[in-house]
Amino acid sequence: MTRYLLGRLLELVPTALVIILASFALVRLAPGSPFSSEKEIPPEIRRQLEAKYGFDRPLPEQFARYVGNLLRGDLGLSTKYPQRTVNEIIAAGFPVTLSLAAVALVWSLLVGITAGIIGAVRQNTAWDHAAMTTALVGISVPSFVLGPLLVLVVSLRLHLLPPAGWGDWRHLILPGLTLGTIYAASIARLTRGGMLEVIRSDYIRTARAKGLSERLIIWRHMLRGGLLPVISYLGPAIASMLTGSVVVEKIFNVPGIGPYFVDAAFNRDYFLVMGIVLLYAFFLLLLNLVVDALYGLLDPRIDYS
Amino acid sequence: MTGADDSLAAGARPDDALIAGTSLWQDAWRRLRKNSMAVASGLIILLVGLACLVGPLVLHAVWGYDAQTQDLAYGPQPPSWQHPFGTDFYGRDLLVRVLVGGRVSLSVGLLAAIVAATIGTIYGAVASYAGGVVDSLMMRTVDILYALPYMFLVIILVTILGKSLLLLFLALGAVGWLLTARVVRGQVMSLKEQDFVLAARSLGTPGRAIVFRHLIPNTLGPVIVTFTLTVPSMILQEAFLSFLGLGVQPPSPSLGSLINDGANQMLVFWWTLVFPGGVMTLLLFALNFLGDGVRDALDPRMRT
Amino acid sequence: MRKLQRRVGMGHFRRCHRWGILLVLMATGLGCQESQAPYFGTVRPRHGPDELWINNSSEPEWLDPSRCSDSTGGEIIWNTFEGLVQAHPQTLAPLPALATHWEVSADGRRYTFHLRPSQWSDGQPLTAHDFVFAFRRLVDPQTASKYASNGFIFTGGAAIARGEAAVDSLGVRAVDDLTLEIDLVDPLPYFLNFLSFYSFMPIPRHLFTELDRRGIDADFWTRPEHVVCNGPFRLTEWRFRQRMVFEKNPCYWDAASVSLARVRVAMVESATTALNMYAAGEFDWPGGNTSLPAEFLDHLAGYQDFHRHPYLGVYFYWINTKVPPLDDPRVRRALSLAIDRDALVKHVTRGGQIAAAALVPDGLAGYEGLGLPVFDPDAARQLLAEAGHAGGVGLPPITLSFNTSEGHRQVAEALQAMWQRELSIDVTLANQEWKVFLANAEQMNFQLCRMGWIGDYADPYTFLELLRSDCGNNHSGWSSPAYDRLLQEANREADPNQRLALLRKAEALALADQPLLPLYVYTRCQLIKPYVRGIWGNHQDRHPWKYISIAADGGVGESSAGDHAVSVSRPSEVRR
Repeated sequence: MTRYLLGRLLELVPTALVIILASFALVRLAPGSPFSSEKEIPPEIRRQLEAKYGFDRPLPEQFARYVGNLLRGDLGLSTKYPQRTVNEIIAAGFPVTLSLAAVALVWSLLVGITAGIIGAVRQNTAWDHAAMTTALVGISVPSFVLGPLLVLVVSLRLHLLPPAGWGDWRHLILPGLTLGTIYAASIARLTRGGMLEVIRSDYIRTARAKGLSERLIIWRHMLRGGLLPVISYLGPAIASMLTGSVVVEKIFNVPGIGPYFVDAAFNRDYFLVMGIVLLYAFFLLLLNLVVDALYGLLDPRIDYS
Repeated sequence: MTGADDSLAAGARPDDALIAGTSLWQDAWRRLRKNSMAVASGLIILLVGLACLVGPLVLHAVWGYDAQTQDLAYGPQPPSWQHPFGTDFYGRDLLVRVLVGGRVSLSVGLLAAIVAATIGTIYGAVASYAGGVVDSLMMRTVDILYALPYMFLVIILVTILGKSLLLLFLALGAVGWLLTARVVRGQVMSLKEQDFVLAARSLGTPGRAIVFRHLIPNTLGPVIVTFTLTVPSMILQEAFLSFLGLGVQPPSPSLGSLINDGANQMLVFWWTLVFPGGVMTLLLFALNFLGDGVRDALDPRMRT
Repeated sequence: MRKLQRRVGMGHFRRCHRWGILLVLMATGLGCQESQAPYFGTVRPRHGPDELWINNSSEPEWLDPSRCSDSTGGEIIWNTFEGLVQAHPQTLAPLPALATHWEVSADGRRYTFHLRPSQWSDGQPLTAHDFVFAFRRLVDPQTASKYASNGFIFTGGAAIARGEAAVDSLGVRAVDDLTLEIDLVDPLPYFLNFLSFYSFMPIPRHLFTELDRRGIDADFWTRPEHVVCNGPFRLTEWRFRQRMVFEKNPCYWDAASVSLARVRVAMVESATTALNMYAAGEFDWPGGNTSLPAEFLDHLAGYQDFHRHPYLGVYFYWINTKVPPLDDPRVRRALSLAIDRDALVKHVTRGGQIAAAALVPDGLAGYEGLGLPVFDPDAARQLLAEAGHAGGVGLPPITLSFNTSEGHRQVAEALQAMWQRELSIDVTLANQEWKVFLANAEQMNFQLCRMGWIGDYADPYTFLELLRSDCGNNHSGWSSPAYDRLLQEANREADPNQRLALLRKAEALALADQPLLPLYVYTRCQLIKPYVRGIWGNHQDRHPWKYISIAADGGVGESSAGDHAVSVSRPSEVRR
């Protein structure tokens, strides 16, 4: 197991290099410059600005400098927000995105697993059909439809929660629900499917034959089987929650990292775009690794040696 | 052994396919028809598709509505018999715009899914057939691309390449093929040691022929399943981009940009959000249901 | 088969509209909305009487007066710093601020300002040297300020910015600690007005030595942990893209007239979101940098907390005069005459904007507008026919570019439809994001491109300057030596009326050639909670927090019509 993990960690190095090079090239290929503005800038002053960020150097040198700084953990300066470093901007935004994703995750697991269990235990009853149809509807309502509708009803008509903004727990609920619902629906379907698969397997039959109580069978054996597909789904789900938060953060004006990215790409804020891409890539790589390891721990049938 | 890939792989057992290829498909078709919800979903999709295709023409021929001609003085009007979905800010009939937008969404979804399926199938098949270093190199590439923040990549692509419908297809399709590639590879890996492939090889069939004539046709089941599930996700991605203003450009409507307009105007003109959002949800719902049905039909293990 | 005939009366519209709201309530199963409410959203403040919650639309780029070049930063600087003069909150006339009085030389080129003794927020004395330091810093190429050109009005400013002269050659001198002498290149009649602009604030010289001693990057001097200022408020908290908090500056010389103790500023970019938050009471006033969504203006205009006032800005399209078919002035004029500007402002922008076919707003600082026709489709068709393109035949394709924004898109779509209708010309829309759009504009890589110009000061020159041949913001490719000469003559002219006449002649000359398509003069529409006092409409949309207060009684009981909050004044407290 340790060897497997070490091997995987080593594999990250070339991957990371390719990602850095690709994002550097992509960002620099984009037309426009970070210093365009509607008022004209005298050439002398533009030169000063470019020198400050090192944009006057040849591209390979800029790349080498960037990687060098990166190794020291320095992501560079933002061109759009000159009084901020990229590290600082990410430090301000990423926790917000993470807490939003955490709320969404808890919501989706809570609702998803509960609905999945109901569906599996009461297979082919009205309960099952209701839960699974609701789940399908949940998958089919995009966040950018659900979000505005929640604002309209919950905030503007019922005055229960603030329509947007950030500050205390009340601001977390609507965006969290909006972001999490689609995953709750997927998790419900996966839990149900996984549990049903286990029901038919030999060891449940053995357990039943041994006379174990139905409740114990459900909780100990079926749920474990049901959670396996959920766990392998969690990696991509968390990843897509983090990226999918762009829209939710836009709807609810949550100061997470998503809107920065879109703006940074628009503003040609080179270092900020790269910083965010790298952060996400790193996070996703790590996430895949953790999920694979977790999967191995939970499913004794997988052998990593 | 268990896992998503294998459940898909089980869908087209090569011996079945080879000996009684037609019966597998007939079997699947029979199962699909028995699934009433899937049939209903299929009908809904057909209906919506048909409405999107001919609806705007009919509305234009009979009432003279079109998706672009403005009537500023008329402005936004709530739903009525004249305009069942109401009109938008420029006095344009919203029903026509939703239908034309649906047309864009459906074609983007289908085309991007086709692009993704084609690239993915060929890539996956070639990787696994070649095996060895080529395979691990090709699959490492997929892993790397998988780790890239997918939507972010599309955003960068769109800001670089500019906003056009064609590029949108390509951008979505080009990033969406990864899953198909993985599925096909897993499938071919198990096929390639099968007797019929070994037989073909011992007969001296060239590698390319084996890949295209023997391996790819036998991965069709899982590819179709992946495809039906890719279509709604592509539609969703397009809407997502259009919602952010990066997708289809005005005056052409797309469901995503209509929903974005609606979300901005819902406070007063609720119908501008409710109808495009409703149609989008209905479409995704039906596509997901149909995708489920197709998977169940092609996956014998779900037989009950 | 257009449905133009079905113009529906206003009453009908309102009825349908109420029916719409009813339906949504039924759909959501909640019937508690009262559509006749006099105010939009809640009218109870969610905070104490000495606080103000507003929006500033986005994270400011710079809070450094020498470097700031956007209105989000400007809004903050105006309330945390104070210059030699300040603009009267109603009339914008220059009022004494740090300078108590001043003298002007006979040729109008030398000003001597006498400063009042005052302090920085850290208690250090503020002197004329801080102004010299600030103005030199503005034009110093080391500063790399995008607004360095504002300092070109001082003698030597332009040469210093080009790196051709030493920084201390700038025509700004401290005669003693409380006397400042300024030399101007031209006798600008709008100089005092311009001097209240945020580029001309003093800067705490001593802070830079201090930061340098502690080894801190001097670019970070405006962050809350370091900043030293001299205005009514002081930045105490700044959470990136979340909020800024300001507290009253006890060292401010006029602290006695400041009513608010705290101002909380959010950074909500979406106009709709800001509106929702205003309705929910999260904002008392969406702030000068938040515009209301055009779609809702008709609806919002019915509420008593809605206010509207003219604004010193012109919305127009640049025409690239170098590329066919727009290199033909007749085609350019045809395009202009075919725009139904009245319909545009009435049905699209909806904010009571003033349709304008000229660049300088009529009546600006006594300027008599050209009175060009705002819509004449027959003349347009005739001009197009003269150019050999009757009915749009044989016209090369035309593309209209604008930067991604709901409002710009609405205008562009309307123009597209009008040209199609009146001239049978097909125009393609190109929606570009801001940086690409600007790069294209700079390289004249467009045919028609959207632009808005907000005057920096109340004088026609701030607009006419745009068409000067050597102006970097002139993206039309149009240049005329005669025009440049007229502007130069006007700036040298001491008699104000003569000067205006020269400027008018210049504008007429330019617009006969139509290098741009003016569409309308801006207005500002605002929502202000009834309990907020001391916000007046003015044409530069400047609303110093210094004069704002919160009415203890909630302010709802008073009879309040249209521009209630704007007209309730505290003129006695405005020091002259």
